[in-house]
Amino acid sequence: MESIDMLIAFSLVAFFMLGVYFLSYYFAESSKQTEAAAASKLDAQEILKKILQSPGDPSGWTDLNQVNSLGLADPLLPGMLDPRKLMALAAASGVAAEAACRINAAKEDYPVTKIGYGIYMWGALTPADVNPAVYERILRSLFGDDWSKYDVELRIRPALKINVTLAGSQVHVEVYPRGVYDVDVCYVAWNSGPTGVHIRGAYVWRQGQKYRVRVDVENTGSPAVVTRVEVGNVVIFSDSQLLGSYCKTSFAPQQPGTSNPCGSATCYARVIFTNATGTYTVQAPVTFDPPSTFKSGCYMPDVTTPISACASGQTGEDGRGSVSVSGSSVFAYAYVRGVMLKGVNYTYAGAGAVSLVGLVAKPDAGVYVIHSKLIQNAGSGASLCGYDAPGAPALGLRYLGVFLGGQSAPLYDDLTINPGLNLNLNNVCGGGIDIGGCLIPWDRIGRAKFLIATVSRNSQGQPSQYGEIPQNDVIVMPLTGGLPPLYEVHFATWRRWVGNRPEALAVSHASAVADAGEITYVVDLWVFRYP
Amino acid sequence: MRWVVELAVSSFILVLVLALYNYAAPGSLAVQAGERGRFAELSLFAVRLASSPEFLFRLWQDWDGAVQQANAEAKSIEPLASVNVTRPAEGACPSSPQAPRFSISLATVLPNGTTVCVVVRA
Repeated sequence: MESIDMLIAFSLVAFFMLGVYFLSYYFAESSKQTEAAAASKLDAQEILKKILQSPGDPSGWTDLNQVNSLGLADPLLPGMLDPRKLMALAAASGVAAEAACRINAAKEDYPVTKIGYGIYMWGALTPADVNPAVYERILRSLFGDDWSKYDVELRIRPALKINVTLAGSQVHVEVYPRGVYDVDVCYVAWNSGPTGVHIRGAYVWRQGQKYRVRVDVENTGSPAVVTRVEVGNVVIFSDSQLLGSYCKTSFAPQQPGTSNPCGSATCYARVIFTNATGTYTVQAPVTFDPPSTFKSGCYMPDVTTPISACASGQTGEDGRGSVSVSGSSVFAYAYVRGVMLKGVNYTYAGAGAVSLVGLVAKPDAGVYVIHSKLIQNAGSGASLCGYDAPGAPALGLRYLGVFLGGQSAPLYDDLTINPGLNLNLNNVCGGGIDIGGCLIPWDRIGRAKFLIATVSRNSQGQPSQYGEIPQNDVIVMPLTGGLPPLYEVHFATWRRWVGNRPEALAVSHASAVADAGEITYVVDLWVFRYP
Repeated sequence: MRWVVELAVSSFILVLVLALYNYAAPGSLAVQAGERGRFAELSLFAVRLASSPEFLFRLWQDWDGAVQQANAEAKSIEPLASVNVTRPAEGACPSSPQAPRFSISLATVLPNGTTVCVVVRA
């Protein structure tokens, strides 16, 4: 019995010693991992600080392939990130593009990427465009000779999520996280007022013993068919009459009546019409004075001078707010400020599918103004890039200005873009010559909030020939932040050798908040350390 | 019965070893290293808030609303962070012993000249 006890005791001691041996072995390995994790955690802090506070090398880099040392600080504005560097980093890391396009020049084609309505960025924005040697230079500048044991991943996203929607004479803004924010809304609108069918005047007046009636109507939207016109309780027109875009007409009974169609002083005229989207009724109060003349017929709208202005307001605690704007806004831009976070977003009012001018941002040069006929699809298939039919009209650009915040200013008044001419990318805009496209240097644009181009089709053009090209349009290129406001930058050096985030001995993370232009970004950095 | 006692003593030692292992486990050390980084991030965050003109102006106009908004924005970046603003006690910003891990207190001045303490906790 005693020998069995001894056997059990020796077995227990043996198991214990074996356990301690394996555990100590595991401790040694895991401690090494822990040290690596702790060290690389500190690395993440230091590296993020270095990336955010240094301008990099060269200090004014705008092309990632030139970078020797990665730094995002603005060399001219301490404490701020340089929006042009973010734009270059976004381009290299693959901005979500609408279409891959090219500028069709006489001698050489240049890749551009469509990122919004009439808005392009220079280059084909795919991560494959980054020279692998750039990753090595960046890692070597951060980790020295041990660079091959590390990778970094950088994600830069706006701290505020802002939704902007246009609803008639209102711009709605919604901000996340919810809270009370100051909001400035700047907008671009046509001079002609709201689009659609409008009653410009409704009149009932006495002429002798008779009552005369007239309703003046103008259509500033898509073609409509007027089916019924009423004044008070009297129907003065009940038929079908086509009213084209930018056309005016008057409705009146053929014979004056013997009784007043308005039974009281409060009397309304109503016009019922049908257009491509449905049947609508508009009404307006009746005036009891003889009217002045109203010239019926169609006209070319004034598209050369868009309104641009700003209005201010504040969101409620739910992060929602509305700002009233005048006219028919085609573009609105919201600048939102909390107590330490700020952000920007913009929206269009469903503008036409194909513009007549493209605005192409090139980080190291400026913005090119190029006729959309010269911007074509890079691949095959339906064109999402520009309008390249042979009969595209030569004229188009009516106004090119900048919005400085509060007011707009014309930038050029002597610019004629002609797609029939060869494109020379060395042409700087101005000088009154007929050119295929030209460059507006960044220093000419300065710190403007956005660039406004209004275009209209040649008056000799036949609308059916040009299909979906709008009669006239506004293209607005937001310049704040350098790149479209809600884009996220995702740059990773592990792309030099794998397609997805790699397995590593230790991964550490650091984050910080930083401003670039009018936008606050949250910057996250991961450092991967390999054995 | 002696083997029972031996078994109990051995088990006790084994449990002790496991407890020591948990105490020195890599996860614990990693958290310590992580918290150093988190402290640096919160410090920057507090400095940004205390030097924000928008925050100071809003505090001056609407104290509670500004603090509420600062908390909303802080939590969107660091979910565990909270912001409080107090007046200095006896010429110094108070320490915050109730903070579970970090507490950073910074003095700043409102547009009307009033000194306040911005406290960020996590």
